[in-house]
Amino acid sequence: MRRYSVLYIVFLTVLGLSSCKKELDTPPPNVLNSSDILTIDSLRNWQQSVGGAISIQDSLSVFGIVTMDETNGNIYKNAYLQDHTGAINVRFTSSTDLVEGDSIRISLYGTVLNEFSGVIQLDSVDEEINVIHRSSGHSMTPEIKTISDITLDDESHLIKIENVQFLNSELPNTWADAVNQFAQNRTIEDCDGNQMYIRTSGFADFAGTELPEGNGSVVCIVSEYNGELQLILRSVEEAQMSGDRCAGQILVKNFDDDNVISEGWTIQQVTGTDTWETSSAGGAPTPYAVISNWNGSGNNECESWLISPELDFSLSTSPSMSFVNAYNYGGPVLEVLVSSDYTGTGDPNAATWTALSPTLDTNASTWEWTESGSLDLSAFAGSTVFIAFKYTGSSSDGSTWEIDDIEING
Amino acid sequence: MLQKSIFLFFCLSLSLTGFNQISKDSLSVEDTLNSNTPVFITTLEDLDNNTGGQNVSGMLQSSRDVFAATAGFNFSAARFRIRGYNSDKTVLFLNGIPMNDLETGWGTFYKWGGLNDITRYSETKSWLSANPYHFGGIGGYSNINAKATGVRKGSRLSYAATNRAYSHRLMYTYGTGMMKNGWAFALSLSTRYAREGYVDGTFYEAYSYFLAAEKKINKKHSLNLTILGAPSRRGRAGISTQEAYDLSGNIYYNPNWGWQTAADGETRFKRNSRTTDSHMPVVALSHDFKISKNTELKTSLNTSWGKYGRTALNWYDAPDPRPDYYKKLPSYFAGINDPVNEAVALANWQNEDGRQVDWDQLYFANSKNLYTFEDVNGEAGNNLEALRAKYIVESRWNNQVSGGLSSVLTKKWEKLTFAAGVFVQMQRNHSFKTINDLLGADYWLDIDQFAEQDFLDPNVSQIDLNNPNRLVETDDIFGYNYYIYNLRNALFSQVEYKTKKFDFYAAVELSDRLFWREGLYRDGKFPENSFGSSDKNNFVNYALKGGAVYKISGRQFITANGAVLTAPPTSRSAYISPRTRNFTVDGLENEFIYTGDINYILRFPKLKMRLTYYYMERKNAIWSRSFYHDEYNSFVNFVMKDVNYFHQGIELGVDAKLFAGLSANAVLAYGQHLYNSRPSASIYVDNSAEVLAEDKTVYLTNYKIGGMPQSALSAGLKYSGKKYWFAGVNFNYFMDLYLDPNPDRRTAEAVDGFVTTDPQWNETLDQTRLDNGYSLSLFAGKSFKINDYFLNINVNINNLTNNRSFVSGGFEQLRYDPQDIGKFPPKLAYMYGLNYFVMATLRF
Repeated sequence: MRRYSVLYIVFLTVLGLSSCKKELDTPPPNVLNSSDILTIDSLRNWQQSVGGAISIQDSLSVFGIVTMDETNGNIYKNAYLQDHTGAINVRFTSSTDLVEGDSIRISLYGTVLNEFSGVIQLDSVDEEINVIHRSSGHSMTPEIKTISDITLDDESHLIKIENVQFLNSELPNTWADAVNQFAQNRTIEDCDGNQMYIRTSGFADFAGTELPEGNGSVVCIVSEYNGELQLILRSVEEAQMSGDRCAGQILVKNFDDDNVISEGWTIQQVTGTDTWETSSAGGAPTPYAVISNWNGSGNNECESWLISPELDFSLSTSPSMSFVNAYNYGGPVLEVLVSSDYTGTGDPNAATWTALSPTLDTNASTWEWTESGSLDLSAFAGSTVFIAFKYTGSSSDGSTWEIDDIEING
Repeated sequence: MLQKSIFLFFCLSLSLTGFNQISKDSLSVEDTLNSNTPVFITTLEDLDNNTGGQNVSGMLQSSRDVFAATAGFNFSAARFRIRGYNSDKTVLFLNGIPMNDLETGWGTFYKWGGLNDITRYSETKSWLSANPYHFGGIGGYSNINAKATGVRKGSRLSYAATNRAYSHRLMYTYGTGMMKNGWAFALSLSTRYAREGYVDGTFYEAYSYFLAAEKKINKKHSLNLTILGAPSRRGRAGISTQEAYDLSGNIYYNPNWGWQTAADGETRFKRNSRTTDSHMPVVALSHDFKISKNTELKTSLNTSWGKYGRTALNWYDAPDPRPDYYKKLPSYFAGINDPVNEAVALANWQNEDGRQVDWDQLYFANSKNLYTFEDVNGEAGNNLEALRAKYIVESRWNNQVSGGLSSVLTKKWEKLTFAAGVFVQMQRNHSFKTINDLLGADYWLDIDQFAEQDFLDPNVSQIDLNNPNRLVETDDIFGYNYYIYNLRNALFSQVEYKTKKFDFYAAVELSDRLFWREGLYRDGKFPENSFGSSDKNNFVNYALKGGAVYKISGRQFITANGAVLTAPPTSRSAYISPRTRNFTVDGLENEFIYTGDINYILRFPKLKMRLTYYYMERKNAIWSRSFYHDEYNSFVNFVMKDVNYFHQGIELGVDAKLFAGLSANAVLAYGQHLYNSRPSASIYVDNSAEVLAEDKTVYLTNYKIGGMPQSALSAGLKYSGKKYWFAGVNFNYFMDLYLDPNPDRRTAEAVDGFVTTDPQWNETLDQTRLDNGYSLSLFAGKSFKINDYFLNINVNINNLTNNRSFVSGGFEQLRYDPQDIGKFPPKLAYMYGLNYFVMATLRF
């Protein structure tokens, strides 16, 4: 019995000791009140309501997830931060150790809220002093957008665009000029031909990597340069563009090279010598194509075809075409024709042509451009075709036609 | 109700600033406890190579108190400390002469390491009690009887094989006993050796000798002369971070060693960069004078002198050669988003050459560093073109000369015993560095690297303005060079009074401590405060203790003890950067200590038990540490003052004879060992007058004292057979282990810029608790009598289940990054896996 009472005493003693467990000392607590926490959205609104630079001198904090870091050199002393309300570009006083997916708190005291080339920035952030790294590995899921969905409201957001590809014309290129370390813009398009460019720094470690050739998705940060949208790639692995290409933009002819027959275009002169030429008359910023049978005193008989290179609609489902036009002086209207059996050389009249119905300029008193509207070429999907602008003039009359910005999309 | 009142009692006692009543513990109580506890001596040095970490456990194993013996033996693998005390709380005696180091207060176990035949019969108490020699320590005392008559007559030859710090031990001891001519002689010799100990790269070469001669001049006078010493050299094990253990696949990874190619260009050998070389002989002369039947005067003179050196790598204008330096670990590169170098570091760590010291590279670097040095030794035009060492192995010496006089008078009456003593102790420590190995270079330039970078005045970088621009070669003194003197005088008196129902004792000590520094170099940064003698620091101290035993019956006792005392700061902790200057901590003051315990003791033939509650507070202590900081290229000295410690807990030891030869024992140590104040901290750099921080408040109250289990328990069975054999098993469980807090992290400055909801707030402030752990140990022995020879075989196996997952200690690095606490992770020590000690002893 005595033994048990001893055990009981031991038990109680242990209990007694353990029940006066003591709290660890701490330095005076620094408490963050909820009123001192700003959302990214409210930061942006603050900047926009003031307009200029705001030097923050209050003990405020903003929380967010780093959506882009400077690891691969595409951005420098810079990061993008996003929360459930919005996103913002953060600029640091020196290079940082931040990694995409880091959850951080930025103590705003001493930082500057500003705008640069349209981008709202939290500037002068000292990583050592202002940034509190809370945890890692919280990669944010990008919002899925189409090129045409993206607006300036998306500035600094993380987005993903699916079913896009680089323009054919970009394809031999690398992401940027790694040799001279110059930034480059590379244009992507969707299958409807909508375009936007990705801007990559010449210091990015993938600057010298060739652009992917296929179609697929790309994850980017939306940015802008004075109102012009641009995209910034986070890492080359996030340009998952290895699928089969879609048609996209098949052809652009804007005569900016001051050459009518460059890039495979041909002129078939059936009658007369008046032909398609380039011009910048009328103060046009870039050249356009023009044709007229007026010889200064009268009209010459004329039939001149401006014919595109062979267009491959084999990947296309609903190809379309657009251009701008203007005319003056009476005469036969300009015909816009499509052929799937033209050989590419010789008299176009030997082939079968289908007429399109563009909106043509009807105002003979000005040189205002008229949009043709989107001309449906769906009937030719799967074929290879030629497109022709057929100008006809007689010895008694004839118009002057100007065309520009021919665009054929898949 | 009872629970509540006990709770109240404990909580009240925490806040008590007064002191508990005086009491006593009679000598006989513990002597009868558990006399069957097997005695296995393994000094803690086996497990812990750091002298500072050495404690009294090794001595306790011979204690007959089941609690003390278990704590000393089964708990030592987990670095358990009785009542949480360091070795400075136990006073060690050799023939009644106090032997603790005056500079640090620590036990000087290394002076007699390996003389187990002598030390095993020490008289040890692990708590407050009456002490016939001296006031003693609040953690008890241990007296080694190193007189010629203390060694049993005859020869004793033993051989032990083990896989701990060493592999083999051979020992021979001979005693004549008191001969008819009044003389007694004794001799003990031992050697311990390991080509490589439990940990890779650790070697062990140790010898020890003991000679004693005693002459009984007549019935009143006898003289004894004892000479002992223990020259030893060994390679040290270092601990590292979990990352290093994971990468090397070895939880006993030792960063200290590396392969070196021999002169033949082919053979490679393991070389340890951190070795210890010590030898401090002790000579003690004692005079016992029986003045009358009841009156005795014991007087001793002793001296000790010798060397204690530790080697380490040093480097100049070159990368850190330590393989586990944090910038060589993959995690460092991961932290700075550098996957390329992370992969390089990982690959490097995956082969043995990459993760150990690259000696060949150090030689190579030295061989390419031809350098013209101008104005050698301060003589204009004295130019020298030679290989200047980028890397060296240096020896850091702390050599010692000490001496002492003790004289204690004892007088006994029927019920009363009176003792009074006088003690004088002197010690001079000489701290300096020498070049151990130039690693192929011709010289080392003895200037201050950090100061050289920072100051335009060339004098500032001089280590010794009295001898500027010194080129030093092997065995030359360099770097720093100073003496620390300590002088302690004490008067002691004790009375013991015994009655039928009660025993009492009370003791008092008055002492005086003087210490000062004498610089032998005139440091360029402190020309006026480094050379010559510093101010003398003087402290006067008192100590009072007392105790009582209440004898409920002849087999049941209640005892209580208490003490209140002041203690001077040690010279080791008082100087903020003794390598370079004379400055001490501002406002040096005495520590104030009070303690008490209450014990319930049973002594039945088949049941022996002690249950103890203890309480101790220690106030105004100084805490200091130095560590190498690569950004300062120098040692950083971290000093806290006004550190209070708090210890309380219970100790339970039960030993029960069950039936036949079977007995069972159980031990529980339930403790609470805490820091108990908000000290103020200052941070100094060796190589600059700059003060990195001054008097910053450390919020340390209630942090656990780390590096040891706060609590532990053990349960065992032992069977003693009729034919002189025994075998037993013990299960040991270790609880409440914490990493000792880095004070700098527990400051407002450390969490400045963080709010309480930031993870850094808690990451910086919280204390890391380690997992509980266990071990199973087995012991067995048998004695044979062959003619006149006695043969004993003893086997002891620790950690029988080879539990390799128990982190038994560690510390937070003093360096830290509040943004990323994981950048400087703690260094951890794992308990050794299965280890054994097998010994055969022949007596004749």
